[in-house]
Amino acid sequence: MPTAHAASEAALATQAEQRSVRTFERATPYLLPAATAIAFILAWEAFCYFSGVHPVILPPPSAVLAKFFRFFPLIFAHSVPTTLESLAAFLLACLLGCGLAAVVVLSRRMREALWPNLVFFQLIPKIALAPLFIVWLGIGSESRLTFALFVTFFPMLVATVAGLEHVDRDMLRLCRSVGATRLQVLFSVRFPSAVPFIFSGMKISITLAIIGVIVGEFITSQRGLGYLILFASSRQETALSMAAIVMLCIVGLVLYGAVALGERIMKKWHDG
Amino acid sequence: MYVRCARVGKVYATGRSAVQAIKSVDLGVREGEFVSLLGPSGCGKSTLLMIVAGLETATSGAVTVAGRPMDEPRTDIGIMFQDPTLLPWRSILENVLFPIRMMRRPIPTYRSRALELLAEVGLGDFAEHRPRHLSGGMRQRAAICRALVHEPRLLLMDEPFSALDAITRDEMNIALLRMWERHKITALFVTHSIREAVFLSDRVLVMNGRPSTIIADVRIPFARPREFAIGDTPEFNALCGALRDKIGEAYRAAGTEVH
Ligand SMILES: Nc1ncnc2c1ncn2[C@@H]1O[C@H](COP(=O)(O)OP(=O)(O)O)[C@@H](O)[C@H]1O
Ligand SMILES: [Mg+2]
Repeated sequence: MPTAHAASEAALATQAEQRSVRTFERATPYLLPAATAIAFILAWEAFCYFSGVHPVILPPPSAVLAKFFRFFPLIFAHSVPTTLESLAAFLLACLLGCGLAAVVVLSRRMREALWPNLVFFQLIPKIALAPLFIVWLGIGSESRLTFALFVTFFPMLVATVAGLEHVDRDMLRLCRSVGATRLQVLFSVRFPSAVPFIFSGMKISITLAIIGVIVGEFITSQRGLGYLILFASSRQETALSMAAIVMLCIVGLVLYGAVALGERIMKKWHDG
Repeated sequence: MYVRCARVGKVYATGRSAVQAIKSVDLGVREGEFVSLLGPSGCGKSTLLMIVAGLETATSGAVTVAGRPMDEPRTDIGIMFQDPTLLPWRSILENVLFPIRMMRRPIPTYRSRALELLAEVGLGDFAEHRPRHLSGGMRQRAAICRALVHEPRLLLMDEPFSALDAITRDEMNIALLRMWERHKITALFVTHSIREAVFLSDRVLVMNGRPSTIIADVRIPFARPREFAIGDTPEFNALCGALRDKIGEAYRAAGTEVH
């Protein structure tokens, strides 16, 4: 029966078509931003090529990429201290943020004593304190870490406090009725409930940690990507400076990705 | 009397103003009795229950449980709320054992009891599941087990089935009665459903508007163990009707619907 055959073939064809449409629909959230980025880079390249703008002012992407690969060992070497210091500042911020949050949630007196001061402290433009940290701690990584920690910990603290307090009133009543101590409630109920909040704080903090370390390197350092960016710019090596920024983006993506991955794993645990 | 409240009153001081939640309540619950507190929303049922639990302090009057004054939470009491408040990251069994862990009693000793309780409410196969995988009714069953795991002598329940659909609610009423009969425990149950109160209780105490007192104390004569079919008998419906008439006034005063 040729007609039936043709019909089923047509049906198969539409099915295949539908499937490919669906695949495309699913891929657009990735394809669209990637295509936009590529279009932007191509436009940038074309602009540099046709306008004849001086490469010190604006190097084309191809030149940045060439520098990136040519000087990769140098750029990589500078990225190591930046990454490690960012991580250290981030971890210290997590500890300090969670610790202070626990203190503030456990004790009303401590909260009354600390909270207004913490908020006030936070209102100081942090960059204004950087020179003081140099005076107090010298130009080593201690002063950069302290500065980055100072930039980083506050969102961590606020998110953790919000999380620790986001516990059902009846759950807290249950805890009291079975004689749970405040510390038991903190570790058995409050902290586990706060996990999603803590990770939102961490995602902000990890990006701030990198900013803090880079600013610190601008001011004091003899190494690190911040130093390399500043150094290359001062030598009119704009392409190298941008190549270092590319590396910085990669470092940022990896660190943020690690936190996001941790969040995913913990969310699975938290939601059961 | 196992539970006795004498002229219990409660004023919440909130900033500049003060809310009188309970004017003066006298009540007694005999050992092993099932008593419901019935009344419109906002009339102070939860407040009264929390005072009996030692979680709130009365601003006047006195509460004793098992002859001892109730001035702080005690572990001879089990408690249930409208929400099951299970910890989502812990298994059902771990949730049931939560009070034991908080009391620092030996977990292995109570593990078999917890498993038995779960089996009694039909959750024997769900001990290792996380709460997310259970229906609302099953979670509330787990909450019953958690309330009973440390062998309390008094079970306090604050509208535990209000958030469930009507069919599940009927099943939960049966399950609760079976547990109450088996464990021979004294029960104080808060509800705003007349039928639920009549079906479950030996006595129904009716509370009226704010600030509240108890306006009626009605004995429910049906034999135990009760089956759900008693809900269809004329006697049952007559009793519900009489209660409805008695408290209609209070409900209208509080502007709430009668279920
Ligand atoms: N913590 C509180 N602070 C101030 N007022 C409260 C508090 N808890 C309850 N109330 C007030 O007390 C009254 C009784 O509340 P509640 O005991 O929850 O009633 P019910 O459980 O019968 O709905 C209400 O008017 C309520 O607004
Ligand atoms: Mg209530």
